[in-house]
Amino acid sequence: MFSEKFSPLIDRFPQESDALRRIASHFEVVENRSGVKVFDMVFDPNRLFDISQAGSSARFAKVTTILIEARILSRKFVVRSPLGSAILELESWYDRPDTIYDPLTDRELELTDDDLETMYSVVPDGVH
Amino acid sequence: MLSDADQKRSRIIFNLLKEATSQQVVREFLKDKGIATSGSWEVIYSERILPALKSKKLELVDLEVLLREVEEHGRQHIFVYKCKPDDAEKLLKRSRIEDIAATAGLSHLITQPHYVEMPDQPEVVDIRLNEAPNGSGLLSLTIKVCETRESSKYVGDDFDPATSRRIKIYEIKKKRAICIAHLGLDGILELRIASRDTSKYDEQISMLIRLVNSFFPMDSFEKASLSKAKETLFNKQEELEGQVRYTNTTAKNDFGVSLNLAAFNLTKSLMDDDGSTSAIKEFLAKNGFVTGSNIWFIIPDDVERQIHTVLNGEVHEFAIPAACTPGEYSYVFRKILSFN
Repeated sequence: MFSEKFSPLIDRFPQESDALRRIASHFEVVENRSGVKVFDMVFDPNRLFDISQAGSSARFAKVTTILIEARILSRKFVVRSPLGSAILELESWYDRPDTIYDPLTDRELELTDDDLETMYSVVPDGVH
Repeated sequence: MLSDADQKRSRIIFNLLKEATSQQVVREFLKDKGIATSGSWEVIYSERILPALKSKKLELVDLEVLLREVEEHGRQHIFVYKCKPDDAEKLLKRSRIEDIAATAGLSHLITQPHYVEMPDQPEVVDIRLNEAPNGSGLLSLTIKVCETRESSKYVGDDFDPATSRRIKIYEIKKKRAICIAHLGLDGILELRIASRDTSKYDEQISMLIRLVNSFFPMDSFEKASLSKAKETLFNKQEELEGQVRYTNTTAKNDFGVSLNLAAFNLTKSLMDDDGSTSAIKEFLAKNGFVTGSNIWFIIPDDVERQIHTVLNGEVHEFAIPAACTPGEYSYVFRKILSFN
């Protein structure tokens, strides 16, 4: 079970254990219902904050750092087409180009920092 | 008679009113006081307001209250935090607030706000303690911060044939902006930031927190997620008919799929369309969640008056894009909290 990956972290980080347990439980529900689709899950910070009920920005930052270092989630930055789908994924904020071609609308888009969305996605396990 | 100092003060407040609101609002205010309302901005001041102040038909404090009403509510993004009511009670001890103000050299603002048009640096201009009528202590504390913002307005472009380059030209404009921090005895802290022309408010939040942190230590507060309110407002659409109108709703699921429903224009309601409402209900039933809404709170006893509210952005953020009265703001805010 994917959600079992959380168990050692819950033991290791007592101050963040409640938030980690809530995220694990959310993954468990999705995994029971949708199986390997759990590897397709992506969250924006608001959603992850709500699931974890982390309370403060500082605690939330700690929780996400734990999950990234444990290679459960990875953080990336996405640029969306005005039609909604992500058309560019970046590892770093500093990699943002000034313009990008949007194949969904067939036009060139100018980008600013406001166009970058932070996303957390599930790290593949090498099988899925 | 009106002292020179009070006359000077009335002029400053009037200039700030000119920037913050329309002639219509000032005229309505004067009409309620039985003062003539016609004329240009200058006539309104020199021939209506000034004589009324001199004859005591109008008090300086009336102008101050009007300014407070027009610049402190609406056209804001509101970030909501919470602490335990017991902690709020401790934070709202008058002696504590007076001590902090004294240490910061701001004691004078408890008795008299400071009126400044465009300060070089953001500064605290008002500290308001709202006493309980029965003398049992403070009900709330409001701190007002004034800052000068720069915004870029696109004014055209210029083509240089030598380099074959087109250059966009922006005019930089300065304007006064007001931010408010307000804590009530219920432990709800509002950080209200004047709207800006981007969707990011991190810089303004940090600035406001830096200025008010000694009064409201932020490590005592948690973000109050409004996600439940967004969900409830959508799920109770039928029940809330006549109280809330919906023009836009966005929803997502945990696989990154999103759904965006938008009414034809801002006067229409999504509820008038069965098909789209059914579609989003089906999406939400399969573990989708509401991420944002543009809704209109219908003010009781005045169906024509509808307050546009944007439930979007950060988990603890909402926005009221247009100006509104303190009563309307309070109605909308309490409604949102009641759904949360």
